[in-house]
Amino acid sequence: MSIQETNRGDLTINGTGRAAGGWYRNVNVDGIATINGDVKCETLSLNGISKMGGGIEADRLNVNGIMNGEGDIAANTVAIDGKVRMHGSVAGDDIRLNGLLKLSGDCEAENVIVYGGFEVSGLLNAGHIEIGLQARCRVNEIGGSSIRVKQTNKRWMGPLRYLVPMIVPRLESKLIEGDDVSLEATSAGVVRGRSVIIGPGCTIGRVEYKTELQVDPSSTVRERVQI
Amino acid sequence: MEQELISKKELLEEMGISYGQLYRWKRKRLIPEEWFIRKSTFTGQETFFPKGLIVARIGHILSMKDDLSLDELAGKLSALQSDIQLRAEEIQGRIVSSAIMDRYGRQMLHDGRLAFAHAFYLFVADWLHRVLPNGMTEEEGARLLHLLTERIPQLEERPCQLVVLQTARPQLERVILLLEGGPLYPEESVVIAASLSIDEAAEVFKSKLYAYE
Repeated sequence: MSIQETNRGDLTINGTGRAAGGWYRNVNVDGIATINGDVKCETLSLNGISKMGGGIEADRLNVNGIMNGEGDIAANTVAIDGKVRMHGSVAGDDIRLNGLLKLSGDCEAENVIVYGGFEVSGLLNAGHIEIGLQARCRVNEIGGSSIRVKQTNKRWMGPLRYLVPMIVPRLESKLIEGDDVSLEATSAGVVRGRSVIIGPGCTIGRVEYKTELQVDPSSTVRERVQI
Repeated sequence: MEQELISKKELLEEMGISYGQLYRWKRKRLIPEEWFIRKSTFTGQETFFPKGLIVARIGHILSMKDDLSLDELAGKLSALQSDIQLRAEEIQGRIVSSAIMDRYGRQMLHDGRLAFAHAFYLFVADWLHRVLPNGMTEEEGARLLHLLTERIPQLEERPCQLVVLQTARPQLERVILLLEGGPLYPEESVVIAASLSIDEAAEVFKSKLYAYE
């Protein structure tokens, strides 16, 4: 991103506040904020609860807490610790998620690292995707070069897992395509890749692979096709 | 005329590329979203591409990627997509009427194929032929195509407007010009017979070209 002018003002909200969108240098929110309209800035740090009325274009986006919004996010680095819900897409270089993310669009980046859960209605497209499952992860399609999905330490949930399916750490996707794909605790319609490793707890409709396929005995794969 | 499609799997095989590369190029907008055609097959959802377009595009990317970064490449490709060659049958009837194609298209063909830009110029000529009362004469059409081929590449993507001025006195005469911004005030005996934004026309052209029935 290129921002030529460096004399733009900062926006700081401490406590409760409202602000219009616009072009700032740095935006800092500690507390509860509503920002109406698109925001363009270098660093956008949101600590607390924020409501965004428009898109975000930033070099860095840090969210600690809760953010809800309408619009697309374009940021080189996105770090989310908490819960984000956006009606839009996210595009960036590095996206790191600790917590929950809900998107109505696509998610595109070079690197995506997730510890938590997400719901993405479109495509998750990234060079390197690393997902540590801690809640339900749902996405229509995943595409990329290396895709790694891992179970994190199992918690005892008892009957809760039937009452609140949201908290069951599991990845659900219609289609997963990549060069090196390694999956755990995943339900997918079709998985295509050069080398595919299906770890424990998976249910896959069809796997198409080129060089190698490993399937854990606890997983079911209905069809295996070498191409 | 139906477009020939290629499945993603066949494409990877044929071009010798990987899923990772294809998805990266998609991220970098080197491959337009409209080219991804989703269809249900007996093996589940599959993605197909218009074969002629995607094979040309990927060949182009592969030949350039050692010299240019992907971002530079994206800038190059957004121009009037010089890498793409279209088959005459793909265009005729669907995008450009047979009459115009017969009149001017034949001489632009190189072994049955048409450059993307030339196809677009024919599309503009076709539109003008339909919009102007009594159509264009053969000579006017040739003048128009000459103007477009000469000038549009020089404009380097700056927005411009195609305007046709017409006067009835002493006899019907038309002047075709490209206007780069600013309003136009003709004198009273001259009317603006047609006016078309080249950018908008390019959008319409692309949407027609990539439309798949």
